[in-house]
Amino acid sequence: MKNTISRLITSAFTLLAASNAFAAESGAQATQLEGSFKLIPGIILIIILITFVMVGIFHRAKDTQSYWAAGRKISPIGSGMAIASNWMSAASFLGMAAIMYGAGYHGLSYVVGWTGGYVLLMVLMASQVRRYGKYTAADFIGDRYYSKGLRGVGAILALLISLSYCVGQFAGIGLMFKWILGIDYGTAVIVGSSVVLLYTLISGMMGVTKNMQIQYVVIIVSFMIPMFLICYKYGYFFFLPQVGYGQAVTDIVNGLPAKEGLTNALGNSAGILPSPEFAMPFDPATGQNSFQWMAICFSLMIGTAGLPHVIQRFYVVPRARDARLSVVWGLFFICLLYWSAPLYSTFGKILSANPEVGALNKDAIVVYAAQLAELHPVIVGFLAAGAVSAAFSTVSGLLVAGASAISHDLYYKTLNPDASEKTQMLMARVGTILMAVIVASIALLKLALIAQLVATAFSLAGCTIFPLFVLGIWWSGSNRAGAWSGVCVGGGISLIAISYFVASKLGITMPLQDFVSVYLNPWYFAWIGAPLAILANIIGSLVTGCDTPIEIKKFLATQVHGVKDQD
Amino acid sequence: MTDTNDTRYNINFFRPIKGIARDSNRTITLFIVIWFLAVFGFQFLLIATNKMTPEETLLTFNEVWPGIQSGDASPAEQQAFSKSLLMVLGKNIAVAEADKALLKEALSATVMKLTPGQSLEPAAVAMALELEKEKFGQIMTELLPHSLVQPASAGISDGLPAVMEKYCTHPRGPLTDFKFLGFPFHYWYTGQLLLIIFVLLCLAYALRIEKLYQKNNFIEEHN
Repeated sequence: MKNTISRLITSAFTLLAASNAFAAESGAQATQLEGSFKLIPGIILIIILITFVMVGIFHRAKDTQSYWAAGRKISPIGSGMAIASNWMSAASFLGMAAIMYGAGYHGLSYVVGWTGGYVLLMVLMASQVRRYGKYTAADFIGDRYYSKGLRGVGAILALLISLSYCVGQFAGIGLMFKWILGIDYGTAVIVGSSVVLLYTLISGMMGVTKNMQIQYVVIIVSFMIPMFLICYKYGYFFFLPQVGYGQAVTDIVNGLPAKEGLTNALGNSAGILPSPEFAMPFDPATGQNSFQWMAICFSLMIGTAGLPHVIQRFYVVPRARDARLSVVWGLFFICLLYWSAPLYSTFGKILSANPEVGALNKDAIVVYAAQLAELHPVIVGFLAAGAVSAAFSTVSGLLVAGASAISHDLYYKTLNPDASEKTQMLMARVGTILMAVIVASIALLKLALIAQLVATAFSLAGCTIFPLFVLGIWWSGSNRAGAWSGVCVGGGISLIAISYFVASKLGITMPLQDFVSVYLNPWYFAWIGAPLAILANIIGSLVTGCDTPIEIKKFLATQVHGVKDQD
Repeated sequence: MTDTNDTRYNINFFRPIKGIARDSNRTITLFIVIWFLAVFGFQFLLIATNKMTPEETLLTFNEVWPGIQSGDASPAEQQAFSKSLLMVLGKNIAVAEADKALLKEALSATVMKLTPGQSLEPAAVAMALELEKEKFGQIMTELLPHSLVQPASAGISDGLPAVMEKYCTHPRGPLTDFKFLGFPFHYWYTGQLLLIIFVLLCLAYALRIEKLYQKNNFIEEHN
């Protein structure tokens, strides 16, 4: 088998070298940002995808425990890499730069929100969830609130969150396949979805976890290389581009006069007129204000601590201590990319300042920035392949989480407790296919920017799962009735926000549309939804008498919080 | 599952049972307060210290606008007016399409008065505006082919000052004007330092809680 892989890699590199030579011989191609088949990026993408599938095959799941929790054999660093890879989706790789490119400082609320949530996750949940010792978020909810119905609701919520999160990823995959293959967006979404589905079906989480570690390396390397080259080319401090681009931000604020010989790929001056709105906080010119900044930031943070597929990663580490260390490693690995993402929006802004560049698809600004800086096609291709890897790593994790919800929580634990391992695996695979089909169909509609689509999943998690976990762990008085109240309020607010968004997309004006679009915006409705859901949970529990069974209270106190057993 | 009134095992974050639970809760509270102040405290500080500050472009525009509006502007004022419009058009993607259209109309109507034969030829306009003398002259010259349109009328919209104010007034203060590592300080703080703080908070928490568990002989279960 090793020989086969080495032959495969050798042939791939030969093909790559040949295509590179072809590109060089054909002379300097006119820069075409969109609409043509890009040979070198295409080959790089194919190599990477084949590698992922091969890794998936070699590490495929053999039983349900492997499928759901990777056999709990992953080290903290490995788990940290998997957390980072799982986390760094198309929204991180493409979406954050897109928001900052369009709205400047406002986009940093996504950077802060998607990292700051890990502090909450760390102090409030990581080791506690691990010590509680359940496989999935729904398992925890069903057990803690001693309710089959709530387990089912937890599973459905996990499924909805995964679906919502996946839509943004599939949009990113479609965008990159479109860019590389020169095909239309719809076909690109279908091709990309089929590949990621095939891979997830073959491997399950064991393959996914192994693959995530490889994907992390691909993501981070592909993201970093162009940054050094862009900073070097345009005369910024390139030894540490994350610091070097600071001067470029200031240049955008103060204006950057044209310098001889420094142009973008279209021959326009690599300069910009003073544009302070790019960096100034809550600038009215961006159409965003301080309330929106903080609401997005807060929603993303509590959403992070409520995302089932993130919480689920803590079950795959052997001990609670490893859960904590894996958060530290995971966050560090994530920050390597998050420190860097604004660089692409900054150079994208400078290099696309001339109207001749045209209106670019903001979600692809990372790749366009590299293209406009006239980097070598291999580098740009690798960058695009990195974007696909980012989306793939997250989607595969989400599909596994969704399939777990269908097979383990809904089917095995709720509907058919006598189901055999074989039947459970079959259900998991059927669930994965169903999810992929639904997500691809929604992604075809192009509802919003990638980061915004993903932010909806965070708000949904923040309004529903987060209150159940935080109260479930930290207040034994929270009971079944309280949980139902919280879910109804959080779910209701989510439903209102999403319904208004869908209605506005369909051109329907609903009552209080302006109010809802600001205060219950689909990207950040958790700012109010989560506190209200927590309040409803508390009131519901108090009104019904805090009747949590003593066995659960005792387990919480002794196993989760370390209170000495008093029996 | 009975005896729900037994209070020995009640867990409440705000009323922790003595020992490890209380110490642990104090640690968590401390970290959450630091986290909250670091993220939101700084943004409130920005709001408190910033005030809306006009760009130089807006000051120039406001100076010449009365003359332009009344039709009494001198050629030099018309030049300054046109350049201020170009400076805003150069913000490109930050400017809404409707506002761009307004700016282009006003620019084109004004430069026609400055060029021989009322030409909208970019080279002639660049010469009439004496862009070669400007610091950003080359960029403005490159903008011209995309900024000149055949104006629908010779008049200039009264909505122009509002558009100029929208794009040329920015919240600024000591935290945005101070530079650190080349960055405006607030940008560096939010985009980079906060992330470092998050990683350090997580690391410090992991170490501190580990120590706490060891001190209290708390063995975490291997489920």
